[in-house]
Amino acid sequence: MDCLSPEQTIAYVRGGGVDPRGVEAHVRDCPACALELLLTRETLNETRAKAGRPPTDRLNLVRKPATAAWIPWVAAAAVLIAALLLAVASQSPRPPGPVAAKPVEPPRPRPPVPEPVDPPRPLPEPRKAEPPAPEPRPAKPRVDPPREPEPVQAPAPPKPVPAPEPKKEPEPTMPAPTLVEKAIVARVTRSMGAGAAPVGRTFHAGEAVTTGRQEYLEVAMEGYGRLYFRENSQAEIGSSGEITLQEGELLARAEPGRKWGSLKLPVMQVEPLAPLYNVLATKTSAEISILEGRVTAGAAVSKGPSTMFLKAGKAPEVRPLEAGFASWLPDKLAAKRFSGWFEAEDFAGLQGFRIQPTEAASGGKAVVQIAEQGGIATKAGLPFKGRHVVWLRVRQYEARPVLIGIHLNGQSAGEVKLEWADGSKPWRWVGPLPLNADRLDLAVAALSRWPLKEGDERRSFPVVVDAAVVSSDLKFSPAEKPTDDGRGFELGLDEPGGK
Amino acid sequence: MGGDLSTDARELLGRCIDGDPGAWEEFVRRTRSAILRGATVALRKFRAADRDTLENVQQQVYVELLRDGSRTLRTYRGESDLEGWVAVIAMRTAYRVLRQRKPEAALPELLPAAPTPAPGEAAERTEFLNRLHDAFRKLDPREGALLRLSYFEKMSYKEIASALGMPLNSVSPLLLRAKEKLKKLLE
Repeated sequence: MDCLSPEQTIAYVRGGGVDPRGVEAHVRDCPACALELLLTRETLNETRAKAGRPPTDRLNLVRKPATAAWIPWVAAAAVLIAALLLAVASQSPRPPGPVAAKPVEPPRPRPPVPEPVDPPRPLPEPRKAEPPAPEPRPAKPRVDPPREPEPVQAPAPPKPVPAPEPKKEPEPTMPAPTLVEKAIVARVTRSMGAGAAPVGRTFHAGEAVTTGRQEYLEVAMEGYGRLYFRENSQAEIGSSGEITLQEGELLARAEPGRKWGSLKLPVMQVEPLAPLYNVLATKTSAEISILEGRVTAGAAVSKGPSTMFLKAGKAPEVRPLEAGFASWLPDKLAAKRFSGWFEAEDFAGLQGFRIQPTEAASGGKAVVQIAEQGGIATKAGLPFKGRHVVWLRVRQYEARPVLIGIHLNGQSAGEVKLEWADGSKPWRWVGPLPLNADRLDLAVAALSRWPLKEGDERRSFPVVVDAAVVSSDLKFSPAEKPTDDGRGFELGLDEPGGK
Repeated sequence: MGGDLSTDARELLGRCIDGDPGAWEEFVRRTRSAILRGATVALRKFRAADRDTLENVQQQVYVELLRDGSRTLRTYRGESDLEGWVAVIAMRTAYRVLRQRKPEAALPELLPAAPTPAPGEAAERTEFLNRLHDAFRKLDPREGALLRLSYFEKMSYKEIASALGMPLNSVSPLLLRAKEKLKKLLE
């Protein structure tokens, strides 16, 4: 039996439709489910047995100092009187209040300190943690100051109060209904600039994240990734990873295996299927740059490394990625490590090469095969200037040595001789090739060409190139065994601050 | 667990998944008390009862329910009452949130002092649940902590060694022993 789902634990406790013997056998072997079962039982106790009691009473976790035994009785009497007075007062008609208006509390033992009658309000005041108190003890007296307006979670326009149901126990004092639009979706993890939102500040779905002049923010979205906001930017973040950028610039970096939701821009909505993208938006135009993956805007597709230009009233335009990708990131926010994966079929120059669209050994994805003497080239901007290493993933098809020449940023990185390896055709990594720049201009040339057969005019195709990797980690070494798709490689920036 | 009730709940959740805003409001109204109570179970154990934490947990529960195309919301099959189900989700979410926020916090007491049957608890299962509770109580505190940190809180051996102040090499054998002991106590 697999581990128990919440419904199965509930069903077991309540005698529902699960096989009790199966559950018990599993629980004997699985301490996690055993604990889940006991905690579920406790949770159900909380949910039902004391359903009429305010949870906040039971949240007084701090044990209060022992009080004289008569105090609860005096308190009970005082509260009873207060409740009676309130009950009398409540006979008179009341104007409709907000949905979460605090109802009159039933008489309960309370301390003798007279407590002012709370005006109807949607939320109780925040309270600090206190030591746990035994359940029967009276709640600590508290005097709620007048409630201040909520700056962020301003409730929706007041709604009519539903007719009170007869006999219903008083609604516990609790936060007002929280709609999904208000769910916390992001938290500031780094902040620069005097007026910028401080570290730890949370943002709710649909709430605007703004930066002023010389203000920069790094914001973590749990389950999605991090956003880096440039100065003078304004955006909203949704609970499904969608981003609405009204203006300004941001860099979005997804966590490994995650992807961003849609990107809404003033000019149009796009789908960024890229783990890392940089977007600059104005009211009438936008630029979305990606290193890998793709961006789709309607029927237009921009495959990385590239930049998609959007302008109101015009068709999207795709251009090569320029140097300086995300170079606006201030030092303190900039990631100091970078590893990027550039797929060969996206290389711009294919002189003398051809794309093999089906290559089983590469997960069915295309590779670039050297057709004859020639070269391939690609250009891409890197997130920051500095020392990098470049690796190429290649495969050899001829049972004899093959020469390839590699050029980085216009300079020769030397010739590489690929020796035949035991009759097999393994993929192999060529590198590391040093690069000190904020851009990559890579060219690979085939220096060997062999006749297909003796006397044949046609040439053999001795080498295929699958991809190039660029990393700022000088000790970076590509995995010997690629992931299932033959290219699995996490593209990402390191934790803020870098190493 | 009446059929009508669960059908009603499933219908409500279906409308929530379809993006009906009125349905979501109804869901929130119907479950917020249960969410708070479920979260309270975990909050108490971490001695984190402030309003901010409670609200944060509440938000996280909603996010948990709705993330990845309402993945969690879709797992509800109507086999239990909606409020109880949401409360258990809230309890689990609260644990996750508190573990993230308070990794340095003292280890909470996980179980209540005495076993109490839940309302509606099937009588024939009370005995097993009480035995389960007693078994955990009979464990050496360190064994209990090992089981809790490893299986429930999913800590790595390294983290457990650090949390309990024991050599890394000791974690695995002690954990195995604790698991065997628990199993014996339940036989």
